[in-house]
Amino acid sequence: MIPFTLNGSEVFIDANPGERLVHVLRRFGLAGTKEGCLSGKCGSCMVLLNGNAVPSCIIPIFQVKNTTIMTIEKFAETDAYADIVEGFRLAGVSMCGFCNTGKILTAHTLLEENIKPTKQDINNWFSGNLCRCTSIDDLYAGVRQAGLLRRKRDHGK
Amino acid sequence: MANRNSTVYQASTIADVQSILKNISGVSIVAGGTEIVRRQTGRTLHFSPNILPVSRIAELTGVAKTERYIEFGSCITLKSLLELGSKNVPDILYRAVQGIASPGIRSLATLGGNIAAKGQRLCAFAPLLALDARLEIRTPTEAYWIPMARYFSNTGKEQSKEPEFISKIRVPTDAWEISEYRRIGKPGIVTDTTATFAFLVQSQKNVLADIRIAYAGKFFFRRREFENLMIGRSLPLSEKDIDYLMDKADAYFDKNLFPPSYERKCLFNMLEESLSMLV
Amino acid sequence: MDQVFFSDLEFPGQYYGMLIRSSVQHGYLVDIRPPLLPEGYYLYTAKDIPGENRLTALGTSIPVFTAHEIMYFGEPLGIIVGPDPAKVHELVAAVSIGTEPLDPWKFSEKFPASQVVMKRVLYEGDPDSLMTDESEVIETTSEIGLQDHYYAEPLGVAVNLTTEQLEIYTATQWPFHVRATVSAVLDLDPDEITVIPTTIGEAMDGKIWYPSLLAAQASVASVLCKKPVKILFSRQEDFLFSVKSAPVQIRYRTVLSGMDTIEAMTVRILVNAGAYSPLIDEIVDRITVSAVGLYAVPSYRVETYALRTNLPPMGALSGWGEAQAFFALENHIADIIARKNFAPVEWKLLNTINPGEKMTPGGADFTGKHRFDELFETVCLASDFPRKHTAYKLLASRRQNIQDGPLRGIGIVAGFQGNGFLGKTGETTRYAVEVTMDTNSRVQIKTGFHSLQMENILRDMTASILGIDAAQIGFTGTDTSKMTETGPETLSSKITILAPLVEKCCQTIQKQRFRQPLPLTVKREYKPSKKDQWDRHTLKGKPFVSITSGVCAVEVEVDTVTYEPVIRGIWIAVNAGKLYDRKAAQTTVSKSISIALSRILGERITIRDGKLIPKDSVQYDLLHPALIPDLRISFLESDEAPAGIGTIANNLIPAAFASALAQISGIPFRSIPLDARTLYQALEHE
Repeated sequence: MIPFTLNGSEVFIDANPGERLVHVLRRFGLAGTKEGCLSGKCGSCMVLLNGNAVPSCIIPIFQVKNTTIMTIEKFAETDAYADIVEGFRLAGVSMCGFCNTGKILTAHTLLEENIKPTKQDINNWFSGNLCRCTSIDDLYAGVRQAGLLRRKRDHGK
Repeated sequence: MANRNSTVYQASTIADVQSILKNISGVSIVAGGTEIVRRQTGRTLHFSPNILPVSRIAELTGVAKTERYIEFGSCITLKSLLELGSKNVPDILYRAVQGIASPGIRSLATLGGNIAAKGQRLCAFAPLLALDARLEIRTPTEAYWIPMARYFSNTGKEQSKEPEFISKIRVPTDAWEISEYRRIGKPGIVTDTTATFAFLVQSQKNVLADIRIAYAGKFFFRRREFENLMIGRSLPLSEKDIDYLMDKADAYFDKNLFPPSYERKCLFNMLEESLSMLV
Repeated sequence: MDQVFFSDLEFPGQYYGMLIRSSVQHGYLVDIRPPLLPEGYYLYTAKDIPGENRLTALGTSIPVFTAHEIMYFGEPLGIIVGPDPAKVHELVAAVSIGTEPLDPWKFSEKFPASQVVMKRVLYEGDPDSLMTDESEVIETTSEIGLQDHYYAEPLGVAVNLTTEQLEIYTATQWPFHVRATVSAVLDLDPDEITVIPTTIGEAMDGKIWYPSLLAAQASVASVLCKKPVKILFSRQEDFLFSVKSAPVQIRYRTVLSGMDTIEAMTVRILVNAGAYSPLIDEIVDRITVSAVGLYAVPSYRVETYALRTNLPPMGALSGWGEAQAFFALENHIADIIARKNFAPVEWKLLNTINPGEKMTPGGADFTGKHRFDELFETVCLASDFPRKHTAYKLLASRRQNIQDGPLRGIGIVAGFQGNGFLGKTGETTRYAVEVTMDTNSRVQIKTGFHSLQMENILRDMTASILGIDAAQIGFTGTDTSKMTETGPETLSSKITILAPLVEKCCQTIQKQRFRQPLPLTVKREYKPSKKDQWDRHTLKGKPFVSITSGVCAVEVEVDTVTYEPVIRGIWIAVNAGKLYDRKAAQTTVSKSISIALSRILGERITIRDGKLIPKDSVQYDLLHPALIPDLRISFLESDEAPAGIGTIANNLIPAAFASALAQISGIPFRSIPLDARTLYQALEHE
């Protein structure tokens, strides 16, 4: 049995060690984590594992023992999520829907590390979010806008 | 081929790992697992029948620093290594790790896993080779230190009597005046032409005091004899010196092992470009 | 519009299906020997199909499950379904397939007539008579390789049986084709089938007809085992077996007049149609018609042959042939310019058709619409092309070896994107809209397509015409029982056909609403005028609803150490007509540029024994975002009807890139994708 914390709750699962985390999460009904490339490159399957945005498709389930995982469903309850979604909306970022999870979680972890990222920072961080649906210029604008909203919220506290 | 229903063993300490290796035969150690998983495209992952995940063992993820070296637990993630900052990690290694994969994968991939990858030498290999990294190797009964170059030169040549694993990677933190890192290939993609080059120079009173040149791709190269040709030369080097050294390089980098090709040409271009910095 | 993905749908009693695939590239199927199936697991093959064992699209038939002759490695032979997907996978892996291998059809310059699935010849005058032994004939052959669509959600379908309906959920560009196919395969009335298109994302023309095939396969299983059935391709399965962009080889031969204008040109195009290619008629027509671009060529012959090979189905990818044609054409033009030392922009303008002249093949009239002189001016100013081109040419001429850096070049090309198509697609499909204003002045728009971006555009446009709040505007019809029947969502049909139809409906309502009682419903259907009809047999008339002309410059530097090409800048100007939403237009072109760059720099697929192998030998990869340079995109706006812009960059960038590299190396590059190793061989003259 593999114990871990999922979206704030303790869970125990019995799974084939070769099962990918993305599929385990989807069996929990957490459809926000999508099966895309199965190689850790497109970002559709991203989750926060111990606070890091990681592609769940390349994580065999046995690796999550005693870790803390948050999926997009739980993250959507946070102010940080709201900043990013609003920032993307203001910047006119269009996303196909399938890759949204990855882009949002990547933006979140980037802004946690650097609230005013440069274009190069954004390029590097989003190298694990390969999807043809979003213009790179829009992404720059969206992440920066999200950063601005986060700073305003932090200063407002 | 791997048994889909692999048995997963658990270890909390290095001693546990050694005990499991001693008592269970055919155990495969899995660190971040990113390199194993990268090569599999099916929905279900296939591992060896007996696997031992080690990435969360605290003793294998620590960092210790002295005046002369920095010592990484082999399971330190690439992300954690970068979080130490460029002031604490040798520049050439830092830059190499920055360019590996994506932030998400760097949160999972480990330094030990990167250098131990089979089939192709990955991006941390050449910098660590150039830096004269040493590895602590643990078997079920003992631990020993060995230069990285020797360890990987030995691997595959002799049948290892005992199972073993890399527990620590010790990297000297000498200051280098020139620290050049180049990668062949597009960022974020590993193909059969992906390779890396590391070049380090130290001088004292306009004399070349130390030079390290390492290449790693499908195979790896470092030739101390070639480096020794340059040590002790006055700086700056002349164009004639460069021509001489490039001729010598042709002989040292064995054409039988490394035939004329795109990769060989890139290596020589990188070498010439780096040596030109000493002119 | 909520985003729904079929891969997220699970129905009570869900079954999962996996296709049994052929193990040879070409051969006769002898037998299929499955393992013993546990209870609740079923195998279905061609013999189980109640209706027609075929999908028909635009005149081409494809077996749902192959029963006799296998035409490509991995061709579906049957399906196993059951409640546990891992078990289904295990059972499929244990299936034995008996075959009698046959020699595969190859893609080669020399081919038998029996291999030709489609042929087009267009000619004017007698170009061969002008290409004598004494004349200087400039010849260029170019090759464009396969590309994978790599849409975010791999292909698949979820079929659900209710008491009244067969519900099919799939991401498709042509929901009515899904319905028609399943109806024929199951011998069911179309009214018993509802197709609910799920969120499609960036399909890039990879989901036009293939989802219909999967829907048919899953529906057969669902109806026979009386369970909801889902097929979900893994990324690898999608890569190996779904539609790819058709590889093309094109040879140009040109002779110039004494005045240095094009006097005669012959073009020979070979299209690799794979085992099946339902879109091949359109692809061949479009590539034939685009083959001389908008250059004035008094005497020409264009011959296009589509060849059947034993590869997975080939089709469209962000465009239906123009991208390949323009790459080869502009490669050839760059050759001419380099050999003759012409000034690129001046020579191209000199040889472009003038306003009022007919577009060369087919004689279509796009009078005065291309505006190439303004487009060139915009791009030249923005990119500093004339100065850079001269400077880089000088650098190249003085270069002793490749270490005499920097290795820089700049290329410029002109071309167009053809919007809509009046050929076979027009004959067999229709585009219609219906707009209703109710008594509370709320408006419902009923069309075939529901992309979020198009909804925003239509909503804003409707609000503006009718003077109402955007919140009062909704869209009906998210499935085939409620949509107006439409053709495939492709070739910019949304913006060039549907949006103007909605606009007309709204204008009519606006005229009538204060004089006639509400509710008011206005319907409009697209009907090309007789004079615009495209004759598919003579290839005369107007081959597109409209064209979008564009000019693009690409500046490249080659790393002298690793030979990697680095794009330093891209400048593109597009004659876009009326822009409903400038920001959306900018985004569309920007995305199309990324697709084009990824195609030329990275997306290599090798073919070995009929199997597709990605560049890194494990996974297909897209371009790293750090390699995309700053983009400068300009639009020439006008009151002309809105023009599609989704593929113009893909049509122009490859040739501009190749032209820039040719300037650096002195050697033309004849094929894409281009990688560092190819550049190394060229620059080191191997």
